[in-house]
Amino acid sequence: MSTKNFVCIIDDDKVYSYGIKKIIRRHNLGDSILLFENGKEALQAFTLMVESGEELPDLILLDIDMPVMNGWEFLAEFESLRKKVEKKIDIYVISSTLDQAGELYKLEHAGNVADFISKPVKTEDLKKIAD
Amino acid sequence: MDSSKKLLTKLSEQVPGVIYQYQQFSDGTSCFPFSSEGIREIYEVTPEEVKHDATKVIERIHPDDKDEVLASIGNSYKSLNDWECEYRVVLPEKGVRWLKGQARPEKISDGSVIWHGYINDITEKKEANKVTLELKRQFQAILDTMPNQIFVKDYDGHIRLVNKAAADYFGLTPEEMIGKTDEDFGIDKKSAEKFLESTRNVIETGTPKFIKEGHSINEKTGKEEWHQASKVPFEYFGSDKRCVLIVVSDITLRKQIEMELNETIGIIGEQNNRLLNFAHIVSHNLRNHAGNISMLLSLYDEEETEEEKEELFGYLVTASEGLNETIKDLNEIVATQTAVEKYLKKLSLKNTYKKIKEILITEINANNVKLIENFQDNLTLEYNPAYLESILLNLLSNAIKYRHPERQPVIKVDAYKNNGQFYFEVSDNGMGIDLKKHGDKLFGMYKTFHGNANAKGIGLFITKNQVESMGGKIEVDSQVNKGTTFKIKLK
Repeated sequence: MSTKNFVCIIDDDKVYSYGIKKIIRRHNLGDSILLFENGKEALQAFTLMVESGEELPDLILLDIDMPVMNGWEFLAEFESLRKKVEKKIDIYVISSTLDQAGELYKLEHAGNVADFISKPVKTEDLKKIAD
Repeated sequence: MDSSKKLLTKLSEQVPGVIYQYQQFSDGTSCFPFSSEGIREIYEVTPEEVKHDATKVIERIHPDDKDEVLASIGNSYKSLNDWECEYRVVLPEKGVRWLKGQARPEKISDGSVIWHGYINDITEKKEANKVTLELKRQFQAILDTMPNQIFVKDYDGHIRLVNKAAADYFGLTPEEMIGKTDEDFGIDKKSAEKFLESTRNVIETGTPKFIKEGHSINEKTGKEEWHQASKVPFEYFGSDKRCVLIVVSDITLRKQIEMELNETIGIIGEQNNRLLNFAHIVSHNLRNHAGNISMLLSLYDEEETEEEKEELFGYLVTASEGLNETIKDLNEIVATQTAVEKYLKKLSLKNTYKKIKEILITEINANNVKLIENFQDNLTLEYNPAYLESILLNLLSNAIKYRHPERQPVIKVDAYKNNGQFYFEVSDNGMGIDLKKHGDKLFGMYKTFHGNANAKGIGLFITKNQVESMGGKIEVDSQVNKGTTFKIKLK
């Protein structure tokens, strides 16, 4: 079933991340799952992974409202990293606060983000993403 | 001789008033050797009646004016200077009338003096003059009761008319100001030149000017003042030059209220924004927690092993605690926002500070915090006790929480009173915060910046509300890696 086997969740809400991880496991939507609590943690890890030749995730579920480095900042930084790898990486922005900044980003960088999904995320949403 | 007398009589009949000859002898007696027919109107006597004796005429002189008239005749008799006098007579028919007489004396050989002169009735002129004077007095009285400063200035900036309010403003009397220019009142040269230019401009173009708002510092009081002025071309009686009427209103009070109002509107607007933001965030957080709980519950049903169920249950507890916490925050904020009862009490800053220090003693000791108190022991303020404690607690615990890991935390607390306002500052040498990046969000709800595990992002939001709901202000100054200062002004 699953075509996406390496999933990454970037969200500061530990309960949410845990739940999503469970759903992915249960429905076989991903083989390995990485969790980060904010954009900076994820970016640091990704940078190390690229340097050591490790493969980046196929799918990133990105929260927006996070301390230290939020989702938008992560997206901006991530672009240069994305250019270094040939792999296709789908980023889904998952947030309950899709304000004007989000709408603007959608218009300007539509290509960088696969889709925007609002919280709370349902199992069906995840299944659709994984397809 | 006869013909010339006839001509004189004829001519004199055409003149209003009386043409006469008056003779006074050294013994004090007097007569009118000649008087025209007009004497019948002027004195209500016939020329014949006074031809040999002037008594009848002298009797007609108003008792109040008699001495003056006789004295003036006496003077003219001695000095032989022209006689001129304005006086009243009481006539049998017409009653009191004002007369004006002019005559030239001439000494003749027998030692007597003969005057040739003319007397006319000036009652109507006098009356008109009285009305004019009365109108002028009333006009000035009206001007003087106006709170506005009123000036009439001519083309050269000389003051022609001024009311009491204007004179009072300069600490002078209206009389002292007439004929002077702005510079004479100590107005600086540059401003005076500007005023003169504008005055001339109004006169030259004939167009009124309205100055909506002028700001200045009063040199005597040192206070700020705002004035509004209108200048209109004005024809001032008694001035051949064209003039300008200037009306100046003091709008300082209105302006101050306007500025206060604007400030209040700004604060209210900000509070409204924050409330909106708050509603947004609360709904977001409530939804997140609720969403998490329902997600976990749906997983719970399908979970098979006891171990997994236990783990899931642990997360459920966390999620429900989060929900609880959000609701608690909500309560706290609503309590601040709707604290209608502004409970005020005289508080000693020292006592409140001591209390907060006791609450934080564990953190202070654990982190070896150095506290510097820089305020007087007897400093007091009127404030809501719970608010003051909460403000102090939030700022101090923040300063400790965001200490710099590489140095001993030093927190300075300054407080003083000035002009009835209470100023309060908490400075630390902590991590600091990038205000360019986060400045607008600093006092926002659930905004955390350092990734600190204890950060809830609600403290400063509440602090700001507790300060502003009592009419105060809070500001922040910060540099990354240097430290942060919170400045609070309380009313």
